[in-house]
Amino acid sequence: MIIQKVFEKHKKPLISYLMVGDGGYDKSLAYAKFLIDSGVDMLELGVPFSDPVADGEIILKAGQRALKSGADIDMVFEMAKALNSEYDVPLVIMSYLNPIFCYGYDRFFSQMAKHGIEAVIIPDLPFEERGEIEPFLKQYDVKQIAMVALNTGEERLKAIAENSTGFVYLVAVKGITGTQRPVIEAVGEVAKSIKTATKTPVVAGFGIKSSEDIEAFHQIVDGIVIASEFIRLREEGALDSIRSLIKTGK
Amino acid sequence: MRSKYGDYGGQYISEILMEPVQELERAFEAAVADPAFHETLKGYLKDYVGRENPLTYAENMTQSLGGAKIYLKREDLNHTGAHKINNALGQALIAKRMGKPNVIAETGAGQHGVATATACALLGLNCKIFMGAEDMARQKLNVFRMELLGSEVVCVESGSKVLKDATNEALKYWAAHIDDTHYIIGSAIGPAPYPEIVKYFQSVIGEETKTQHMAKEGRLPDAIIACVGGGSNAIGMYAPFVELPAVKLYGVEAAGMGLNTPEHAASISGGRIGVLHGTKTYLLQDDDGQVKEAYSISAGLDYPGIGPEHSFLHDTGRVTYVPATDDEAVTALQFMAKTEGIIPALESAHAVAYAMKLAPKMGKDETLVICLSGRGDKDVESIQRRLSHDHTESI
Repeated sequence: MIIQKVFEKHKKPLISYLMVGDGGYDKSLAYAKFLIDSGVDMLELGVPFSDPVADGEIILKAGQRALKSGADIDMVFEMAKALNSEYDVPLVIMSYLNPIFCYGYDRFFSQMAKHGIEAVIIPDLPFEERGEIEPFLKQYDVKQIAMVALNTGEERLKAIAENSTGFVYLVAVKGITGTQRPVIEAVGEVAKSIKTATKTPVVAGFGIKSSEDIEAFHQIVDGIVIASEFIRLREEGALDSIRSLIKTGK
Repeated sequence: MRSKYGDYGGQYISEILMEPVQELERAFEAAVADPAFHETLKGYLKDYVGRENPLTYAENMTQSLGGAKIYLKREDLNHTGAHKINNALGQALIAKRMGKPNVIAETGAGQHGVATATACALLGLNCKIFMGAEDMARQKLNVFRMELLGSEVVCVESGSKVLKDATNEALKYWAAHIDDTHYIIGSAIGPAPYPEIVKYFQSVIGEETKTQHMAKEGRLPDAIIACVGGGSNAIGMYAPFVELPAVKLYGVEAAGMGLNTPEHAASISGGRIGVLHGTKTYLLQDDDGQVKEAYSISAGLDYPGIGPEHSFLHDTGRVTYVPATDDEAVTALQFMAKTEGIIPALESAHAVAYAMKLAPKMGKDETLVICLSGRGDKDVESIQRRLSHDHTESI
């Protein structure tokens, strides 16, 4: 399924994330399947990185575990292949720039195209540096998901939104993943500004944890991402809680 | 403002940091255009830091090495004992201009932390220093020094618990406190405009050297050597000379136990291009782009990256980057202590080590300037440990 279809089909899609290789390949694949089986509409496959400056402790530690188990970009493509053979759910790769840079842009984006992965999220590749990968995005018809923060200025927000494809990722906290609480009013304001500049759906992530959060966000954005909270619950063995949160999100 | 050096540099940071770095760039440009700012900075540099510091003719070293005439740029005589204060003070003044009451900084050995804590004490700013747990254990005295100066030292337990992790945590903290906090990066690294800002405040080293050398010799120096970790003393020293090809420039990286071992910090001699902490530059990393831990006897050179402009100056061939091992640095430190009565910082001793190789190959009518970026008081204990250990081994 393509990303656009997800937003047409589901009223408020729920996107989740997993660190590929966290717990070893087999267990992380099983977790990916569990998330999709539980009703997640789109999945971000995380590439571990030694220095994840946009992430809090939960994802940082998941990344360290994944690195210990030998996870790398090839493992991400392997998982994509396995998931695509069973499911019709869009996959998105989330990675810091350096692992992709080292893998080689041409090799990376051609592999994305080959595995039918439509988009990539690169938290340390802002709009101003898009030239870094733009030629490859065009060549292989891959999207880079734009990120907007609560402090993104008016002018830049407009430029980012107008150039966006797939969805716009609105960072709902002033800070990093999985730590602070989102400020709904501020997120609402920014979501409104994005929507006046583009028709691309707006998805909010960072700091979303509870059914109350989900309900509040559904009023102001087109979809949400839950990442750290699910990783935390998985570590606690509370898969049931994950399942019921996903149900609330539907 | 310049944000790229060839393909290096840039702003590889998360969206939330984009507006703050742009705000910083505007504030910096406004400060540079304001004569009052220059007056203030100049006043502090003179009456507080103790500039200008001397360009000392090292007569004994010169005779002993039997080649080029050696001069030492004495950053070791600055208040707080190193060049770091030039940048910390300049950026603290920028923070004041931006109306930000809080300052954060990362530190490895503690030198930049101490310099930042000092500048903040002087200017009445609140200061938090991020330091890896490993480094805190190794540099207890500097931790205490920062606390004496009224700063809070934040212990970083994540990752490998050293400088790069402290930088990660400082960046994260900054992302969450951008409204009232300025991040003083200590080296010529990080996203634009940091490398340019750090170079600006450190270029006083090169400017003074140029004028002083002119006064003493009536001409430009033939060669200049500086040590390079992130590379702030080096980039400041090179700044007025880069466009003058007659002056040969050398950067000395920390080769630790040797480039043929994993234990070194030589990003250019032993690394590959990558992206870390907002900038594209030479990096120590594995095949998958995971950043490796750097190692050097000198904690101040113990960083897996290098300022992006150094990567550019390496590629263009304008600066020659060479390695010096732990052993060579320690030997150089002892040599300088005995011949000149100056104990250099272990970082600066790397520059001295290469000078010991280069000077004898140069003519007696040529001059060589070593950037003595800091004093060695902080290293005396670890040198003592190492030398007594070596002694035991030789028995």
